[in-house]
Amino acid sequence: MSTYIARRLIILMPVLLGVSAAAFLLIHLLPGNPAIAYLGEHASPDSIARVEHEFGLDRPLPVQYVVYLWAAVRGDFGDSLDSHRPVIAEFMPRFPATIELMLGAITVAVIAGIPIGLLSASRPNSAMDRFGMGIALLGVSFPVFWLGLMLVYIFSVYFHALPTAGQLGVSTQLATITRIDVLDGLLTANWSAAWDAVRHLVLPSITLSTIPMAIIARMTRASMLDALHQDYIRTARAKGLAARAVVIDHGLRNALLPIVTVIGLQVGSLLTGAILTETIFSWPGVGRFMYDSIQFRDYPVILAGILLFSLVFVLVNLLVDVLYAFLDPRIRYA
Amino acid sequence: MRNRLAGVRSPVAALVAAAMLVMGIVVVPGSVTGWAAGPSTFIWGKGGDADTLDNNVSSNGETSEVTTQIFNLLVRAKPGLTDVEPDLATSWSVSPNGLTWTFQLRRGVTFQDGTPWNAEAAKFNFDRWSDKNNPYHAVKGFDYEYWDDFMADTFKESRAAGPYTFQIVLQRPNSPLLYNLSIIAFEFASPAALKKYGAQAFGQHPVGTGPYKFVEWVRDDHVTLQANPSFFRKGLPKTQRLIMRVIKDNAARFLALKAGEINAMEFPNPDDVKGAMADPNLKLAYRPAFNTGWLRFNMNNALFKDKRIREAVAYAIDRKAIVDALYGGYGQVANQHMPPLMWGRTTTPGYAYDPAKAKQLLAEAQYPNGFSFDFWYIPVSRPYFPNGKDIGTAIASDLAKVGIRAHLQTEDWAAYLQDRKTNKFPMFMIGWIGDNGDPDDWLGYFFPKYDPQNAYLSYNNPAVFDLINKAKVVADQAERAKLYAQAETMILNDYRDIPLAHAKVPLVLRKNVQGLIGQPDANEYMELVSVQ
Repeated sequence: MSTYIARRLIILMPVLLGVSAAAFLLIHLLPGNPAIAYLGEHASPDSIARVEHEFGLDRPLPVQYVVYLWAAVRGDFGDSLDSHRPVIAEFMPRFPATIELMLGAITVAVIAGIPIGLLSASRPNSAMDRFGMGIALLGVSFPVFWLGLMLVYIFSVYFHALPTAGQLGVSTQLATITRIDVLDGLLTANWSAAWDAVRHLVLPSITLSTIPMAIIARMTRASMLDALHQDYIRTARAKGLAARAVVIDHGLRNALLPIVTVIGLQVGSLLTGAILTETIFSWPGVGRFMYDSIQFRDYPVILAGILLFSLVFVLVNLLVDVLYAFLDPRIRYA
Repeated sequence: MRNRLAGVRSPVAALVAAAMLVMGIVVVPGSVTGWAAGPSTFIWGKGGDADTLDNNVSSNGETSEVTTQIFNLLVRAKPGLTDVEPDLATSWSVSPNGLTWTFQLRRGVTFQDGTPWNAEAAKFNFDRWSDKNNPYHAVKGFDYEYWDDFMADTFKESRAAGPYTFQIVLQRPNSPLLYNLSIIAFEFASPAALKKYGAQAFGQHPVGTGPYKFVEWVRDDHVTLQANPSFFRKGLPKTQRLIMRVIKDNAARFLALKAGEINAMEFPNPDDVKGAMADPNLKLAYRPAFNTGWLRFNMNNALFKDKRIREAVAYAIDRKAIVDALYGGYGQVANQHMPPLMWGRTTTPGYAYDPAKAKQLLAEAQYPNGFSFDFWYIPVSRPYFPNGKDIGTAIASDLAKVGIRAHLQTEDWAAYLQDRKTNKFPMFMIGWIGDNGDPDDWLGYFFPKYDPQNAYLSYNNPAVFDLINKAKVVADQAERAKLYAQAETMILNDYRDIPLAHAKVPLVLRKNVQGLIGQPDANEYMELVSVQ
């Protein structure tokens, strides 16, 4: 197993190299001059030339790429054209915020999606099944933007029960360890801060969880239906096992592989694509940051973001593959 | 037969337990927001984050909203206006040759770190801005954009002529100087703080003489400021704490306002403005119209070299109908480049709406059946063009009635800003939001020269350029006003552009907010605000 993991990690390098070259070329094909985007409507030709020179944008493209690559392998991804801070410094606080939101959303999605799928599979084509799949359909149909704003309107504006936006209240003091505020609150025994962080996490997590919940529910139902028709289930029942043991211990256990795959894919997607949710809730994550950077032609940030997202997808897929081996003892990697 | 369902009650239980947990979190009263403001705190909802808190090196409007509260200038815009008034200088004069400006500085003022404001402090700042070799000049990733654009080409040196007498010596006269110095980029920083933190870190540790002092900055979230007890305008600020909270989405910001998490906000969506009017807990305020949107012809284009064509286009557009329909009630028809609160405007009436005259002009120009061309509309929302596509469509519709077929085009904003300076656009929408109340910031920028390769600079009228250049050096404001008015009259008579609209900018406040005056340059003086 360790050899397999090591081999997959080694393959990561050429993957990232290829991604960086493709991304570098593609973003420079985008119309618009980042110097003008940076300076705005008041840009004079002298200002534009100065900014282009300052950020190396006046050099030939291959030279820019080589300079970028040489710095990147040493951990220097350049400075943001917008904030002028190192790109690493821009991503460092934002990525944990996205992880926190992802964890919240996937938790809600799994807690809601798997039981819905199980219930639907247990009584196929019944009213319960139709109800469960109806919830899944709604989950995938609601526009995220609309749902988020509606939740804010109901729970924040009308009931004054939850915050409208942000990751933490402005008056809340919290020592930073992981920058995942709920976790930092627990680690520092700052229960009021942890509670405040949880309350800020509720609405964005629910908003972001609807689509993954729907997908997990449907995949759970389909996978369970397949598993419950297998011979080993009939054998388990014939042996007199309780229904719970049959469905959960035998059925779900064997149905988990496709469900885990789907959850893994959703994790990757949530880590990179929560733009709308982050926008509505002013959540300081990487999704909205990347969208703003693309609008601004912030090349160093866009490149670093693409590399980061590629890394995330590869690592998540590796994690899912490793998880397979634990879930199914028949799976062994050379 | 055993009930198959018996084994799956646990998922039901899990669902119910999860729902109860969520309801518990929702229902249990807690610090509802952690944002709730008491009367001693004013929370302002802004649309974006600052890039630094050292406004000398920033041209970002989100920065200046914050730094306006921390710093002061020699002169500043009067509340709600663009005319200047004393700030850290109490009076000023200029030598007869226009080369030496002398400022008498306000006495008894200290920076927020307790160090004194005086002529030496003023000179320290000017030296920092002007001298690239100054040890506090270089800030990595930033530049002195406003200094370069407004001061660099005329500045010679500054002097501390006495403890509270500061002089700026120029290489040649620069009559817009006073208004230029009212731009927040010319704020005065504490020399002691610059020495303590260095130029690079000063942007995260700003120290000025302003009504609020810096407490913390959580990037992309909020800036917290605390009242400066030694602020020189006695009785101000009216609140103890000012929090400038970043909520980028307009709809989300409005919901935060309705929930009471913020006290006031900028950039509401038009539908939310209507909602605010109907909400008993909210009210509106406005930033005066300090902007203009217009259509610009590319006069390097063969078609629009002909004045009759340009005139026909101007007569064909019903500007009043467009402004009435598409500006949400806060637009007004623009009859010239500068908005009504500026001095130096012309009294020439605006272009009339006369489709018959337009057709007649087209016939005279040998286009009795009209013509086709690409019309580029602005892809972003601005106060002067709240919805470029809708406005562009309305304009195209008017033009079609006289036989002119305008093909609507647009592109990404970064590309648009670049391409307007080529000959790609035959006619395009563009606009301006002022930096200060001097006409040189307007006409001087729109008409600096002629460039045959640049649609934006495709107007070639040396007489206009001469008038604008002369107005830069004449000392008397009344004389300058006449020169700018003459230039504008000539530009309008040439149908170089078609001014379309100025627009005031709505702000939405909770009913218990008092004293907020909308500033033309969008940098409100929040020391005047109280929360009942």
